Amino acid sequence: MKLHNIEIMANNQPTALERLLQVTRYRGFQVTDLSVSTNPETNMLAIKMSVNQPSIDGCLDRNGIERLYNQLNKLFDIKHVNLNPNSLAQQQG
Amino acid sequence: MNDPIKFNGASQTMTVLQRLGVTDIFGYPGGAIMPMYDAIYSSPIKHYLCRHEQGAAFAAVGYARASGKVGVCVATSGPGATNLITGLADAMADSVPVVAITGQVPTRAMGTDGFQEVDIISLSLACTKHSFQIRDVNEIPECIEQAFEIAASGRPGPVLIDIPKDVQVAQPDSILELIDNLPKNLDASKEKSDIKNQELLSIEPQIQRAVQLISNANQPVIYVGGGVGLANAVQDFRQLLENSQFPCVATLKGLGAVDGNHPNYLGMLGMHGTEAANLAIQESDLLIVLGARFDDRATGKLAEFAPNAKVIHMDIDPAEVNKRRLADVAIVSDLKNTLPMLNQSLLQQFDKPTMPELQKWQSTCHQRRNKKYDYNEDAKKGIFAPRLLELLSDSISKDHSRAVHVTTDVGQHQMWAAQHMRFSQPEQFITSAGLGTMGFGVPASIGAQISDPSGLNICVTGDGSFMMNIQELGTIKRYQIPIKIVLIDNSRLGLVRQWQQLFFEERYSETDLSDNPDFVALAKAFDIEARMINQKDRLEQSIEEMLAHEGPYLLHVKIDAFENVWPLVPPDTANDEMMISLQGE
Ligand SMILES: Cc1ncc(C[n+]2csc(CCOP(=O)(O)OP(=O)(O)O)c2C)c(N)n1
Repeated sequence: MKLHNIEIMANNQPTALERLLQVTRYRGFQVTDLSVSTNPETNMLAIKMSVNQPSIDGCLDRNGIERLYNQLNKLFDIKHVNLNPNSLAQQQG
Repeated sequence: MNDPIKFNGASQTMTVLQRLGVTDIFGYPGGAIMPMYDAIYSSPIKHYLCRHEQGAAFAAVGYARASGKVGVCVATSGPGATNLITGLADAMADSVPVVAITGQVPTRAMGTDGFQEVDIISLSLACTKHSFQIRDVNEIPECIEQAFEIAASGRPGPVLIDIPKDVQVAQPDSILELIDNLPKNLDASKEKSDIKNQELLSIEPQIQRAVQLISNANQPVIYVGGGVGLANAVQDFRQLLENSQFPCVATLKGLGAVDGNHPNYLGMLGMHGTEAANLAIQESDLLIVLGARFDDRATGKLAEFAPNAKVIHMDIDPAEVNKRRLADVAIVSDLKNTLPMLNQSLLQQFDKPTMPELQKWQSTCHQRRNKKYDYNEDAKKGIFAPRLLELLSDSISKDHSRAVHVTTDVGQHQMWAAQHMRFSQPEQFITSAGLGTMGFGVPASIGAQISDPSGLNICVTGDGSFMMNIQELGTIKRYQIPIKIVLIDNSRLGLVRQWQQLFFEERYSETDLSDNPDFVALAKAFDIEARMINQKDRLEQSIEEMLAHEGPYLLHVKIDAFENVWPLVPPDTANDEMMISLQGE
């Protein structure tokens, strides 16, 4: 099981979190840790999330975290995604 | 009757739509969207009443796919909104720019399980690019403008806007005038073009690597998907085809990007692809993949797909790269920009069409392309659907006086249309590819016709699919929409029946439709001219009659119940292990 830490900046919109969690689940990840805070100056959500990918031995498995990263990046309300630098290296190694 | 126009959120919404250039919308009224319908009553935008919200959503999809414009559909809260969902999922799967506007119960009732309240935002999240709920009437202009921008930009897709009823009737602080410019930040757009230039600069090394791979390839294949048409890059793609002289295959959504009669075109790949296309892919040492996503119906068993090929993947969506197949070179940007860059580099650095390995490869591909199957058509008693579709295709390709769009439903008839009709532009063939939604054909054809009233619109459907949005015959009747419906009736859910025959020991569970209604009588009940044929000597004449008819028309074609689609790559099998036919067929 691989654990990944992700830091996200998102618009403070009602659907931002729900969408984040929906995409995370759909792309095959489980959230194991989550914290959210609001930056009152920028009115942005700062989200820290740990996810793991249960091994399912399919094509979803291979580049799972890259896929999740790309899918999260596409979301309108998500402005920035930062992947723990180990995550990608671990994946490719 | 002639009350002064109310200025409220609803009329503001119509004004914004008008300013965005919207001329036609599709929808169905109900309680929570009534203020919008009141505004529609006095708006110059033409509203088409479909007879089911799913029909309205598919009409918007057909409209968008035929015209390239954003399609708009409207529904009430609760059941109206949930009825749109299939259309949104379809638009998501096929990257179609659609904006859906739904009514919602008043803000104060939200979250109380009110009458016709459904959390459509939550329901829509999995099948839209983005979903908005407008809580403040003053946000309407910006929100709708953003929705259109999101729907049409990058990889297109559907956007939902949910507007509670009280927001529809609230007074905005300022009334928009039609001529007002939308608040546009000029600096921001300059910034955007700077970013674009930077992006293209950073792509140049990738282009060079692609040229290198191309120069070293002996058995290259160009693999074209729907993205080329969506990017308006058909000309650039055709130039690549000419410059390289490489063999080319298309996905279901890529059909029409290359002219069906082009000598280097090997046909569609995948489950019902041609032998020439699938074998070329399997033997290839380089795939140049343009605006495609390695869908499982195209690749067959992924682990054995194109086992010796390196991959150049060009697509606008970064999330498609390395998703199902790793790319050796990924060029992630708008094909409209990157294809000309590739073309130019190739022109300067590449003159391979004369190399012997490549010529050998081309001639192998050509030979396979020209191999004709003997379908033993003469031995068949009834009408052979592939033949019908070839004749239809020949007839419409002779008509240069008007734009032609062919929609299909889902099943054997869809695959036969993909295999046996020829298209010269991708938007000519409008089929539910990614989602495979039965019930798509008729309403999508209605939408396509409305986007271009002088065009010729043909819907190829099956007897199962036709019944799934049959109520739209009412829409055809009301607006006298002159689409031509070719109903290929095998009195079965044919594609499922075929799988039962091949993979479920001929246990024909729930696929018999031999008690179908009298389709000709049904059409006539809606004032639609109709005719049934079941003999092959009448084919040409019947097609000509249909095409010559001015108004809507149904050609009901009865075929054998046990006809199959060939070739077929069985599920979870490599694409070179295709079945060509059954014994005795
Ligand atoms: C909404 C929906 N339900 C079920 C299916 C599964 N399905 C795929 S093809 C098919 C049979 C279609 O029958 P028909 O429209 O008569 O076309 P044919 O295959 O006979 O040409 C079915 C049930 C689907 N694609 N879409």
